[in-house]
Amino acid sequence: MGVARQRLYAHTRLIAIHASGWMGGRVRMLVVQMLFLSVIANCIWAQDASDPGTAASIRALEKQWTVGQSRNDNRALDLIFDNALVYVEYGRLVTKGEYLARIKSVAPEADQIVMEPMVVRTFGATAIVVGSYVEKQRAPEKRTIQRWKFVDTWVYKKNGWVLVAAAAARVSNQ
Amino acid sequence: MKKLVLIAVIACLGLQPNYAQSSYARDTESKLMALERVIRLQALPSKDLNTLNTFLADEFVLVTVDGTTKSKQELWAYLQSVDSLRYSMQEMIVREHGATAIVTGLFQMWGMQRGKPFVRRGRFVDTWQNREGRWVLLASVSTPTHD
Repeated sequence: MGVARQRLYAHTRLIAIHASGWMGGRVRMLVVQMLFLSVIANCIWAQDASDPGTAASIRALEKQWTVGQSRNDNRALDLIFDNALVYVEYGRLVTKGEYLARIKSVAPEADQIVMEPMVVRTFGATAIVVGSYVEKQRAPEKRTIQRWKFVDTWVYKKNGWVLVAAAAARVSNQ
Repeated sequence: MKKLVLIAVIACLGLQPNYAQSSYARDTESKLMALERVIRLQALPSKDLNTLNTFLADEFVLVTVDGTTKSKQELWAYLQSVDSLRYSMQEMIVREHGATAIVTGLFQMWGMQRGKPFVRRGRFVDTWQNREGRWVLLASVSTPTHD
């Protein structure tokens, strides 16, 4: 989006310079203001659909989540989870507080999460991530490897993107 | 006296938006719960593709209880392959985040596919988006319940 924004800005500047040659001060000012507003509108529109910048930010947050979980870093997780988070863990609805408490109590590196490719779709201030991961439980009594398909929902709020919902379904071996 | 009236007026003005906001939230909550019922209890069992097409975004994505991803078209194909379908829902919760809302709840689904009966039980998490005053379903994930 950065390149698109730069191009639009350059285009606006060019028109404004041309306009300045034959227009009076007030009209010129009005044209510049209107063009500025159109640039802003274009930038907002450009954030929609598949904005690579937003997608990269969301991917980074997904990674931050995985790393934060493996290191029991509740402070990092607290920042990326919305307070009204809807989190479904093994079919059970848990609150943000319950999830963070569980993470805190789990021994670091007890479970290993290996992320697989994910698809990020942005719809204005909403982003949907669909992907899969492999969960390796390394506790001696239950060494299992399981693949999960997940859907995460992120919403852009005043302090940035926050996770508002997350749920995963175990991929059937059939 | 004038001061008292002024304070009362300011207090009323301050309270009004809060009341309006909570009333709007309640309205959204009941609207989304009604939409969930229309989709799951009516449109899906009756294979009403027109209704589904109205409320499911073109970019809709579904992750089923067995971890399969389905697009809107793939969901249509699945519905055509099912002989019969029946749903029940309970314990719905709505969380609103501006133009986005999350609805979660428990479901039970009974059906018949190629002559074989099946039952699925789980929790769904749906993501809705308000597009120019109309709520559309962007994504849905279902996960089996173990309790």
